[in-house]
Amino acid sequence: MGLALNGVNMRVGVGWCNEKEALSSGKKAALRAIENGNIQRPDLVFAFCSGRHDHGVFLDGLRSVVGPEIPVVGGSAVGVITNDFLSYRGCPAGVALIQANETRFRVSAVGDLDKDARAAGRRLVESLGVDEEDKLLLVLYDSIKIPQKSGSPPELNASSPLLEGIGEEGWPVPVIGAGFVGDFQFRRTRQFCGAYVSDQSVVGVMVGGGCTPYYRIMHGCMPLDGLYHTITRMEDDTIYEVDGSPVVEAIDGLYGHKEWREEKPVSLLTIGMNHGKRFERPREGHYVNRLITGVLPGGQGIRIFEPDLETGQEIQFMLRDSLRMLESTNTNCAELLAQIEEEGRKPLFGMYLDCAGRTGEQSNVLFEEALEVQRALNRRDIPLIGFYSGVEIAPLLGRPRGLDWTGVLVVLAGEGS
Amino acid sequence: MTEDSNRSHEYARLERRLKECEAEVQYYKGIAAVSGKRHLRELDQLSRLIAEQRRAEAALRKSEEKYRSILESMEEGYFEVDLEGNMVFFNDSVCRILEYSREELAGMNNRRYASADTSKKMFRIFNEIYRTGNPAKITDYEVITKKGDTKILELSTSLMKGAGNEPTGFRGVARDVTERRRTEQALVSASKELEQTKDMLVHSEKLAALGRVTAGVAHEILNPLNIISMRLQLLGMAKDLPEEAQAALRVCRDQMGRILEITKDLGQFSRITQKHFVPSDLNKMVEGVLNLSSPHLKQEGIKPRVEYRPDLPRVSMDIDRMNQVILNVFSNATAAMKGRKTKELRVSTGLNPDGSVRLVISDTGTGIAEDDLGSIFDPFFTTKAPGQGTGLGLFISYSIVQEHGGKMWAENNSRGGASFFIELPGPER
Repeated sequence: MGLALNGVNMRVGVGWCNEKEALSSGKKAALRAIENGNIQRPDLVFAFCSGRHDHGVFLDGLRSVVGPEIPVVGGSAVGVITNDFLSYRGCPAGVALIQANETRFRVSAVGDLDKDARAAGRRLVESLGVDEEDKLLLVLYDSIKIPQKSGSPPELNASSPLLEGIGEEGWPVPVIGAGFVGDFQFRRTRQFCGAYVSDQSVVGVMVGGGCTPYYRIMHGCMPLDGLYHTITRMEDDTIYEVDGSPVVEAIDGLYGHKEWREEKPVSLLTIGMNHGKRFERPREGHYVNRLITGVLPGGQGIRIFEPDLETGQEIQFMLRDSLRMLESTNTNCAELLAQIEEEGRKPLFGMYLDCAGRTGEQSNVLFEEALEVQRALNRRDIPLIGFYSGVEIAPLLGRPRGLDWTGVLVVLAGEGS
Repeated sequence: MTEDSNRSHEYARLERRLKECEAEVQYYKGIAAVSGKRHLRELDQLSRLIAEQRRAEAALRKSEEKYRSILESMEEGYFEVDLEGNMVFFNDSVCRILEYSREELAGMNNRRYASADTSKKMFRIFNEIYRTGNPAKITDYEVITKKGDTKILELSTSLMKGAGNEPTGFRGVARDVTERRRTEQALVSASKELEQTKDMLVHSEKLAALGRVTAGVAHEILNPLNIISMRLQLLGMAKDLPEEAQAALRVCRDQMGRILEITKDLGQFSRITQKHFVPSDLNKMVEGVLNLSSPHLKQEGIKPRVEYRPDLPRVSMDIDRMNQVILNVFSNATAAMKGRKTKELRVSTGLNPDGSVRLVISDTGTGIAEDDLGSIFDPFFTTKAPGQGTGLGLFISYSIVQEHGGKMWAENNSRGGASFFIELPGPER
């Protein structure tokens, strides 16, 4: 039920469970991880469980196996991905126990994300501190500010102000992370904040010492027609008009019908911002995509997952293409692992932060894109823990950005092949 | 600025713009090759179709789960076999009935769990279903479980058809009725026993009533008989009685003797005697009676063959009355073997599993007519010639055995004669 790589630098045990009963689920997942990783005493635990679980009880189950003092980091997830498990049905849960000799982890969490995300980011960095040996900051946070109500899209905690807060003093280390969603109904989520369970929190893990992080962003969106549109009316996270006309009517014209308005989130179309040159061949790495979470009742506007767009900004309609998504995952996995090998390092542990919209069910395809990540890592016996998220964070064009509909794979590698 | 300079500047601007336009054309061409509004609409349509397929699959899954859940919660076995009788689908109850695991049962042919005879019989029935398309109920399908036990199943079976309406196999529901059949058989057996007991009770009641009547009748008859007898003796003593009258008196005396004999037998039956039940050895008692009867048996040319079970327990008996029973049966056997070529009297004793002792007396006589088997223990029933018996011997014997709490019955044996069975209760523990 899991896989471990017992290297000089790091031992990792991964376990999973798909049971409704939270105590048993936490316990079983942890026991499997201990067994599979031959873990004596973990230094850090990553834990992700279904939004339907009682997180406090799940943590109790987990702690009954690993003990009360080991920091547990994670939270609600739509689904879980490990080396031999992938599910977003039932009550999936996944646990990774990390026992590191030379890699160091510092954990901190702050709350009130819904009140002031920027301040939360700033406080997080202040509490974690940064030193010269730090290599990576993992940031996991509550995506849901106000859960979805009947007929209207949910209100979300934006990643942009959080990242601005984190980066107020610059970006000494790459920031990778995700915003939690616990189910496809966008109900409230909970976070494992080291020693306790909370909500409206952001938890950070500063990774330092004897490891090198490698990461890749898996995309899957292409400009629909390449046309640039200007946002002419926008408030908060809602776009009302582009090019002086109602945006909803513009999208009606693209689809040729109004049925897309029923989708929450909209499955094939996203809003893209090209950070490359205007008429250069489109490169997926130059685009930041924003998920359309739904249409306002009455069709006045579209709500965007992150409120980081503004009136006057140029956007493009992007088409989500599942085959392109699969291709992107395959290529990026292969390139990442090849890079580690070329640089003479040994991959020790992988974490895959995958957008919940990329599941086979949400993408309306008959395959699972995350299986490609699983296969790629299994071929090299790299322990893998992953989960389906709402927002992914990864460095793009010089700074960390909140991304939608992407998969972010981060692999910690040690010295020596 | 000169005109040439202006032209050159404009030319450079146009050249830049041309390059920009070329880049834009390439840009849009590139996008059009992989994307575009048409692509969106196609993907949208495909996406909706897949969504519909997913919904259908989910509904199918749900329906299958429901179907499986119903099948698995059924006490009865549900099975599907192909046309060759190989098990292709079945629920857990089928595994439970046949005691095979799911893996073992998958693909198993029906001949593996049915005897050759049953297989033949089933072939005929299933062939009929195949031929007519009509479902059938089979009430006694005998199967052999993995452990080798035989079970009786009731089947409701029908023909399965494929998409082209062609027969593909048989499906059915099997109910294990082994226990029910056992209970039914036990019930029939108990019912028979009850009927017999009831008959015996009726018989006993009859006997008791008859006893009471005969006691009164015997008493009332004997007194006038004594008077008649005395008068006849007085008449016989007369000196001048003609020869004819004397002959008539002799006939009267003989018939009087016969009346007295019958009355004596009746009295014996009805007599309320003091019974002496003592623990006794049946073997010894039989031996005593045989010794007593041996001159007579020898005279009749009858060879007794005796087989005693040596370890018989002593049972409570009134020896005199049981002697009478055995003598009576010997007497009947002797009469039945008159004129027969083989004259053999077999006597054996034995011990029943319930602790009762058994005595069997078999002869090689003419046997008992089937119609008479139910009447031989009735009072005054006789097959002998008139004047040869009173018809009370077996009736009295039966009553004596009953007084001992035992059973007595008769059967015809394989050697043409009759066998009398007497069972007496074993010693009380």
